[in-house]
Amino acid sequence: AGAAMTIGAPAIHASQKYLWKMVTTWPPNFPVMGEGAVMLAKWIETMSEGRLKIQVYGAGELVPALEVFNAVSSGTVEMGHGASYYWAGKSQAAQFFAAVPFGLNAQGMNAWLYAGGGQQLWDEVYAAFNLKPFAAGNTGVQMGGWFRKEIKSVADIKGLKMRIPGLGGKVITKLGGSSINVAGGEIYSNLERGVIDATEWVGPYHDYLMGFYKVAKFYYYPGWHEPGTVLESFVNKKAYEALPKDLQEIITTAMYRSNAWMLATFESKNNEYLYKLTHEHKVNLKSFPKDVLDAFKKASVEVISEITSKDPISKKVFDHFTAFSRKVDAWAKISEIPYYTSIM
Amino acid sequence: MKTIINICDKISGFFGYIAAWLTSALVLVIIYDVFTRYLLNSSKIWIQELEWHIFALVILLGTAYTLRQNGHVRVDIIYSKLSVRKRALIDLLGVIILLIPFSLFIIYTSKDFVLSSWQCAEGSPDPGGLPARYLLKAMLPFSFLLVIIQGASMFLKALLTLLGDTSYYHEKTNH
Amino acid sequence: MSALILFITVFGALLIGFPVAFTLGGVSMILGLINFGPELFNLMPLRIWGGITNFVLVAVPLFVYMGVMLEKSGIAEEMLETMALLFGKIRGGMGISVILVGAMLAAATGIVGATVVTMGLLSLPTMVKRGYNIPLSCGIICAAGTLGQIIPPSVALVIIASVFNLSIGDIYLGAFIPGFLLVGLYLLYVIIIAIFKGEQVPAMPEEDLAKFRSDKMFRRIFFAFLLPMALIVAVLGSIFAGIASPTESAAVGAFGATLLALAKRSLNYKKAMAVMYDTMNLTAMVFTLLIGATAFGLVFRGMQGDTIILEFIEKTNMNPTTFLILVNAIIFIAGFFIDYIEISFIVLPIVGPIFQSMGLDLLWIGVLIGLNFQTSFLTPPFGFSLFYLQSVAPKEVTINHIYRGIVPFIVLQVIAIGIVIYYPQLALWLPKVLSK
Ligand code: NA
Ligand code: NA
Repeated sequence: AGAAMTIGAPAIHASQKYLWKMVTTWPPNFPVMGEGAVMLAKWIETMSEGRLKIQVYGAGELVPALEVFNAVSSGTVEMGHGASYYWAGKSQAAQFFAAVPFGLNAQGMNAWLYAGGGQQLWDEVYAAFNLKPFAAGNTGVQMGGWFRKEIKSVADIKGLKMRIPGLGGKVITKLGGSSINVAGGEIYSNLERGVIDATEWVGPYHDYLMGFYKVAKFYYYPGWHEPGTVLESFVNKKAYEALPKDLQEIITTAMYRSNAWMLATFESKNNEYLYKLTHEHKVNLKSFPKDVLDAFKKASVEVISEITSKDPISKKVFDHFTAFSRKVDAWAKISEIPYYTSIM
Repeated sequence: MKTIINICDKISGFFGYIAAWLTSALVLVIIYDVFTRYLLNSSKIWIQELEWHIFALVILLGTAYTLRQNGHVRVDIIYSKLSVRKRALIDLLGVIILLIPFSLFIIYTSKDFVLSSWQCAEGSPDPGGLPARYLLKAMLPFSFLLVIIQGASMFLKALLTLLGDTSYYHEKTNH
Repeated sequence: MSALILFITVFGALLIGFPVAFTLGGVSMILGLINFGPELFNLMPLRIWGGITNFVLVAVPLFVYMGVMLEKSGIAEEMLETMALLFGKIRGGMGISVILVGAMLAAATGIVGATVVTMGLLSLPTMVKRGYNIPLSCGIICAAGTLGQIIPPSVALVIIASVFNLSIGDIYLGAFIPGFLLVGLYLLYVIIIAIFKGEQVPAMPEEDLAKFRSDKMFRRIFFAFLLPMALIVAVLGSIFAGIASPTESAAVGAFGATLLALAKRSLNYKKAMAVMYDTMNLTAMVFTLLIGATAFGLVFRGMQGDTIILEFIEKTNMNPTTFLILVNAIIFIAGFFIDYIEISFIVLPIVGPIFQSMGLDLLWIGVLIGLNFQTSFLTPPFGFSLFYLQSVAPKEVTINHIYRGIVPFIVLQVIAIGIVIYYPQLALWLPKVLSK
């Protein structure tokens, strides 16, 4: 009878089917991020032989982009896809799991989350909202943005009107500029007409598709404010815990694959489109001057410490992040940096 | 009954008055933003957020008053040709079958939406944005409470009309 | 099947005449509860919140404010009358000036509701007073007021571009010529009416013209025409000079209209309150309607209405042109019932990759769909322009007038879509030339 039980039990599990919904912050078919969300669902379905089927919804289809967190947190929808800085209004600590100005790049973020204790902190922060978070992608180093005027010194930031949300925006404000809220669809025309002087977006691939090269002369690097933005997917905790162990593993594994696929796609597409921008459209590619980057860096520290001084959870997460980055930096100093220097 | 109608109408009227003034506030806040940005090269995130906060309040505080003024659009192909009593009957049934249940339902479903925002003291995700976004979110169920109050008035007016009082409905209506 | 029942029930219920917003909301709620229970409705507040906090839509009350202010202070009426007077004795002159003003407003804003409302407030009472055929007047205003959808800047084009991965700059340029093609067709139609059915678009009465010529002509032109024109130029100018975003320029317009009304000494406390109350009522009306529509959209999805559409599209395995025409026909039909945002999110992600694999240029398709979306604002029973116009129409105008008047313009829209299907270069030429 004992043997019969052990054979019978998994069979009951295996027959249980789950139909989930995934809401995303990306417009349907949004390059890389949106495509990645759809592929993630597909992989999970295939690996589970159809036992876990996930229907993916673009921003606005079921809920607006910025309500994805709420929808999954409440349990009405089982899964979400986005980037954690969108939820800074809910918990200030959330944004550090997406991007920290002058923080870790993609390799570093993966190291912190997968092997450095970052994931446990992330789990902790999201558990308060009944969510289980996963890294599901990474943009790699982003670009600094498109500027109508040349940035020669910190003085040029004064009075600069830039569309740059979040921590980066606060940094620009600190240096005498303004961060302007612009609806996604209006960025192009506002930049064209000079309502804003500058905008950041993602990297060469996405920036090319937005057509910014037609309306702004200078394309600045690096994307100091988003050095390796983590794209996340999260699952309602209760729904996740109700799954059999193998399906939980399948989700986790698919997240790893999604993370690798997105980063690889970003790297490959950004190369291709950077070439197009510089060769076909003769874009004026420029580096931020050293003193400007230094000023950004100083202001970033101030902005972040204003947040962490008021919110103990943010402080805990950020201190952990900082301690880990110091070690990564020390290693990079004798690995990545000399290597890149040697091949350039 | 007339007293109840009067009280309901006054409540909608009070919030409608506020919502009406908010339209001017909206114009002025945006003008202020445009001028400071253009002349002083400075723009604050919280002012930009204030703009759509006011916008949301115009809708949420105003919609009950708009109901009082019969300002919500109807498909009047048939309605406009009906007698006063028949129109009153449609409104009476509409309020108890559609308007009040729908409003109650929105209040019910927005309970978690507001509570979860309240519990984490939700503010703007942007540093430098407005705090206390949960207050604005709480206006959503409040708005539908106002609609229910005005719905009650609408119900009573229709009921009185069916009972023979002619002061609430006119022979010709537009919307 | 249940999605079909939803459609039929909602339309039946709307005809009874209870306010649209609450009929849509209430009926959708009841059918949704019967079909799949309360769970999905927890998303309602999230969807409502997204609608009433959309920064782009803030332009709606501002354009209403501007329109009502121009109307209450008497500036708008004088402006339009003066404009028509400048066209002199030409039959159809009013209609032509409305279309031209509509095209100008379209270049200033990307939102249909505000333009229709502004135009409806500005022009309809005057046209009715001058003896214009009422359905024709409604048709002209709805159609001209909807041009904002296709003449850039436009929210719809932005959404299409985002779903199709197109550059927004390119789709703006692509829509430019087709947009003005449409303006040309409207003008042609009014001119033909003026020639063959002149009594529908009467010329200015002779005594009005005479009075105009004698009575302080320059002063009148100055106040009634040049000042408001300066205002419109300021609105457009503040966008093009980069002082303000399209939303903000609406506020500049509202503020400027208030200043003009003050300068004209035609603004008092009572009128100011009336402007604010009208603006608030119209805003609340439009967005409560949006709340009802959101409930409908949610239930439609919950009942797998999108899957039904998908299966229908997948069944059609045919050559590119036929497929293109079929998709446009589906969008055209869907546009009778649901708004373009819903269509964008249901149909476009499905057909986009198919078009691409067929080797068709998505920019061209995007512009075509933009034209098609514009039609959806005009097609009853869910043509938002029709509702917007009705909400500001004078008492003697019924929704029947509006429905009847819009038919010829829907035909013109379909002709424009046909022309752009036949000549893709109308959409593709300008982006190619200017993106160098
Ligand atoms: Na970015
Ligand atoms: Na437009």
